[in-house]
Order: sequence, then structure tokens, then C-alpha cells
Amino acid sequence: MSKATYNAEIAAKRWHAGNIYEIIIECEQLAHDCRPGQFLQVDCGDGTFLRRPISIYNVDGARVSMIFEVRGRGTRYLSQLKAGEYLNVLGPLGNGFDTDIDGDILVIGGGLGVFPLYMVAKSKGKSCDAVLGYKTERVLVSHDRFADVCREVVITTDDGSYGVQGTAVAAAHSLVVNHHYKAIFACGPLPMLKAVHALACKYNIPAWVSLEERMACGFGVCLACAVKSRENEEEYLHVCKHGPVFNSKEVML
Amino acid sequence: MSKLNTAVNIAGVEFKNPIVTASGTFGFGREFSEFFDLSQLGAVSVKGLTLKPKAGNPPPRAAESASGMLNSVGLQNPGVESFIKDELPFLRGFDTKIIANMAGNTVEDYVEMARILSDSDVDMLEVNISCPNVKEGGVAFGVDERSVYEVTKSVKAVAKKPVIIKLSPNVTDIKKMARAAESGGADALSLINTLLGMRIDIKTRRPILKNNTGGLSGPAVFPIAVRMVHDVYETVNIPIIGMGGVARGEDAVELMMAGASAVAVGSAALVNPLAPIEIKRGLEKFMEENDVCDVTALTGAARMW
Repeated sequence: MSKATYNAEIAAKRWHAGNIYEIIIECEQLAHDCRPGQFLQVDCGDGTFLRRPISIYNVDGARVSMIFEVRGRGTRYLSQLKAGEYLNVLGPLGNGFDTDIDGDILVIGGGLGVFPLYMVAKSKGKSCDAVLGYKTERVLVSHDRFADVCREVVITTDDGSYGVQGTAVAAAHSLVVNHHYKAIFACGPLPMLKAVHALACKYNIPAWVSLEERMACGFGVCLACAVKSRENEEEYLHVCKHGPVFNSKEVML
Repeated sequence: MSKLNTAVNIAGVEFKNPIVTASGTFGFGREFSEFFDLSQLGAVSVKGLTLKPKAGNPPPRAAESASGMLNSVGLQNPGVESFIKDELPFLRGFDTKIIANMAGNTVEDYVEMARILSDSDVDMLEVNISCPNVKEGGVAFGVDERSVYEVTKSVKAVAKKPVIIKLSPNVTDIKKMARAAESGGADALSLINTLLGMRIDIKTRRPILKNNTGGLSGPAVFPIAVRMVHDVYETVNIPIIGMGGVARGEDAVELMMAGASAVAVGSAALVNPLAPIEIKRGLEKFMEENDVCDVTALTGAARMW
């Protein structure tokens, strides 16, 4: 697993819903090296200085895809690229989810945090259940792909417009009570990850969470993306190098 | 055309080429060694060291700006002893010169570190009196002529390696600081460190950086670096390692023409880890295309109007 920069051809760009887009690049070596939960640092053109860290959604043959939301200048640039154009990416970066665990696992995704979990679900197949939380039915993206590979998929929406009304973690509770999960893998907003940590502690299940922090380099030299260690409050870990996936007991959420 | 001479001599230390990695953007080399052979570099300047390990500032520590970025990392590092024991042997495995960058809260800190590092296997010491991100010190020394002189003189009194003083651009007249360092006995100067800046999130009405302010680097600061290197070159007789927004081979040429004897690459390498090598190749290409046989001929080659 080596990281490198690639100038990759865009195989497809899709609009999914709202501000959510998918970009698929063709890059055999990168596709070969990517693991679930890793991310890429993506060059977003001349209007930006820093690359943007975007998690890997899927690998299919020689193709690597990312799903992202337009939030600012960089992601807007990405959303406007077309098939046949080139995208410079650096990666794969970070440590992903350890999918070698024997036994059943639960993935909990909230909002954009759903997407980094798809490769986990795909690799675990029928030993994986998923709870996917969305704001509303209009932004439901990729839930059907989870349904294709997982054993059981529960969808929640904040407004109840689709699936169960409420948060993903609340819905995860009943699954956790009725199954013997060996691990929980989660990605989503910080309040959700805190709730995942509490749930995991309560039922004594190891939980791994994928974190975000403002990042510059993405490969461990600038030390920008700091997250406080739970073990030693005098110490910072780094999302790009020690994460983005951490055991929820390792870090102060 | 005959073989190019790219070697430069900085205070008695020969760099095989003028390209250096800037402190704070290079860690201790391990991460970059996954991208290229560090032996291709003239020298490396390691992450700023303090006497004791330092946790750094709370996040967020980085914010983007037009053609650059702000950082407020706050000198997170494992401390000078751990550097010597755990990091230096790895770096020494490469054929490049090693510059230990050190930052202190007191003159005594600098002196103690200079003493410890003088007995280690580093090639040069770089005295960071210009870090804008630590409240206690760093830049406090770099904005006052007398303390620049005092720190330099005290470090020189114990150092057994050539001493580089890294100057801050956050001053009204950098020439005075350069002169103070030279009279304190500095063997070389490096400039510029980052410029103090701030960004505010207009939705939350709070600064993006938890430290409120941070150091600006990247191409946005390049013209300031060129001007300051030129000013300092005209003022002192010791060599200058120029830095500040260098992103291409042509930028390295320009900074050398302004007066730098070597050029450090910082933020550009955070975006493209191969930048130091591409900049080195760009510099060599310029030499070939413009019949410059000896890279030292570029230093100060710009003629003012």
C-alpha cells in the first residue's frame, strides 16, 4: 500500500441529490491500493491552494469513486468537472477500517458519513448490518447499494420522510440489543460519533469512528489535523496519519 | 554544455544543491521518504524542536487563504532528546545535510538546546526566533534587535556547529534584525518565516483558527520574501537561505537572484510532496537553458533599477 500522486482521467461525474455529486476516476494502481475508510487529497484547481480530503466511496475494477457535497470553492470546482478531464489526486491516505474482524459488524453512517462505509459493507457482505441516517428523503443517496450487499439495512431520516424518524444511533440501539456485534464502524457528524461511543461503551462493543478535522497536507507532516488523545490529554493525534479511523476510546470526541 | 555545478556552500557546509526543505513542513523526513529519495535534497530543516516535548495548539490549526494558508500548529514536537534518539538516525541514513531547527521560551532554552544538538550528528543549527504561534516566545526574540543580538551571541558562544538565525517578516525593518544577528556572530540567515494573519468564519463570527491568529505561507507571501531577501542581501555579508512561497523552479531562481544562496521549499510540499524535487529540476533546467554553469552565479544576480 503505497501513496503517490496520480493524474487520473475522470470516467464519470454524476449528480445524486441536492449538492451531492459522485466523481469516478480511472486509476488502476490507486484502485488496487485503496482500503475501506481511506481518503484521497484532491487537487481542486487554481482557485484553491490546498487539496481537499475526500473519502473513498467505492473501488470497482480500475475505477475509484468519491461522493462529496458542494460546500465551498474546491468542491464546487469538482462538481463542475466532466468525464474525460483529468483530476490530480494524492493517496490512498490514512488508516482505514479493519475489516478482518470475524463475526457480525454494524456500520452506522450519518449524512455524508454514509459513503466511507460502503466499502466496509461490501467487503463484509451478509455479516454486516447498516443503519444509515439522512436529513430527509430528498438526500437519500446510496442506501440501495447498501441494501444490495448488507444483511439488514435500517434507514432513518430526521423528519421521518423516509424510514424510521429519528437519529441513526437511536435506531442502532435496538439492533445492538438483539445481535452480538463484534464491532461498530461509524462515520458522521461529531454529536453522532459521541453517541456511537456511548452506545458502544454501554454494550461493551469496540467501536471505530472516522473523524474529520481541518487538514493541510494529508500525509502527516504539517500536523494541522490534530485530535486530542483520550489516554494522554497532553498529546495530539493526527487525523490524516493516525486516523481517520480511530478506536472511539483512543480520542476525545 | 559541460556539467552543471549545483553545489553551494553555506557557512562552511557544502549542500550538493541549493534546495532545502523548510522547517515545519517536512516533519523529520519519514513521510517524504515514501515519495522520493531524500538524498536528492541539498539539506533538510527539521520540525522546530523545543527543550521538552510540546503538544502544540488546539485545533483547528489550518485555514486556507488566497494562494496560501494559515497555520497555528504551535511547535508540536517530541523534544530535542527524542529527536536525537528516535529521528536523527533515520535521517542520517540519507546523503543530505541536516539542519536542526530550535525554538525556545528563554535565551537559556536556546543555549541548552544548542549545547545538546552540538554534540549530536546534525550539520547546522537553525535558531527559530520567529514562530508566530507560541505565546511565550519564539517571535518575541525576533522582533527586537537587542534580543536578536543576545540570542545569537549566547547560542554562538556554545555552538559547535554553524548557526543560522531564522528571521521574522513581522517587523518594520528586517535589515536591522539581520544586522543584529550578523553582529551577534550568526553564520547564516534564513528568511522569511510566516506572516501573522487571521481568517474569520463569517457564519460563526469566530476565527477559523482556534489560536485566532496564525502564520501565512504559500505563493501569497513570495513577493514579500523576494523583497526581504533582497534587502537583507544588501545589508549583511553572511549567506541567506531564502524561503517563502517558493512553488516552482523559476521561483527558486528568482529568490536566488534576490540574494539567496539556498532556497527552502515549504507549503508547496504540503500540496505536492514531490515539489522539492520538481523545483530542483526546474532550477537545473533554467541553468541549462540560460547557460548558467554554476548555480552560485545566480545569488544576487538581479540588478536593481
